[in-house]
Amino acid sequence: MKDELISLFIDDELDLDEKTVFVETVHADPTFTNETLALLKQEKLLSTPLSINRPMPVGVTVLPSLLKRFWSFQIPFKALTVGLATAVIVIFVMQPETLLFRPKSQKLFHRFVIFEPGVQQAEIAGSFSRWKPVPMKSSGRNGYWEVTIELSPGEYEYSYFLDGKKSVADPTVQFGEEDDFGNINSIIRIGT
Amino acid sequence: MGDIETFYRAGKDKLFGYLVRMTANHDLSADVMQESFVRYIEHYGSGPCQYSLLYRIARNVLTDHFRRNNRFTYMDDDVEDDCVTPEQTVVARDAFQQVLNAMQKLKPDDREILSLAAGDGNLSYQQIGEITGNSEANVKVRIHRARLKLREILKKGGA
Repeated sequence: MKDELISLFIDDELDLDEKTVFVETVHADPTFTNETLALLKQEKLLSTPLSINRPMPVGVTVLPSLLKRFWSFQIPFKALTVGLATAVIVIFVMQPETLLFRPKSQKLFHRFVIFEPGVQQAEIAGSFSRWKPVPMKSSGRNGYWEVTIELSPGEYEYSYFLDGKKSVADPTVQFGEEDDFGNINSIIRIGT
Repeated sequence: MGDIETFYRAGKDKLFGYLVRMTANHDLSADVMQESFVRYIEHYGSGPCQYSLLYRIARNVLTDHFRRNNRFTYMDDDVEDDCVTPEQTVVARDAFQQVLNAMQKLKPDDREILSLAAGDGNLSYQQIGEITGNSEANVKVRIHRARLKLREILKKGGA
């Protein structure tokens, strides 16, 4: 049915033969063309870009599913699994810094550093400070500004503010997200 | 974990868009999006990243929600602001809200297939078939019919 070609066209699902028929029909049938344009307009509205500014869920581990999968093996393997699991638990317990057994409330210190020799003042603001600026300390005359902040494990967004106005993303951090004002906020994960 | 993080960043907006189109509810969509990723990471985080699987999980989370609330349609008037890009004008937001409202008047199956098909970098018909359990040929027919139904609702000013 030719009408369905319109949706195939909208969804980039036409093969070469269908493309030929589609173009020929657009040329020959104004009603078909108008229908195509109307549905394209509707689809554009429906496809309005949306973004969500939530950090990735933290504290989720794949370990339970792996154990679940191993547990479905035959009985002899279960005994082996129990032994292995015990060994793994012992290893983790002996290394308290390991993620899986670290209490969620444990605080970690993170040092934020930026090289900005030309400014008089540098601050950092982020989700950890409810976006309230935290002053950074100049480390001498070498242009570095730093501050150490105590943080719980998790994901945080932040940005540097120079001379009280200019917002700068952390150049050393790979991930960032644009805020509602067009600035890029850096995203960092602590202890996960 | 790096792959999962990339998967999350690449997929969260698309999944959120699908859920907003399904529900017209920003907060609910955000919660379902996050819950879907949590379940995905918990159960399948060690395997290859699969969007079809993620969307199937999201469908289940959404279905659970609607069952708990004894209804399928869940609308609110506050879809703009947080979720719409800043470049959009108020007029465009109103038009988007209108089409979202019209979507809620479609049958759930039609709304779902259109929600999956829409969006930038949308899912292929094959992926939509995997998510909904339909053949590609069936998806092809259903998408077009649903688009025409949506158009009729908008024409009648039924938003």
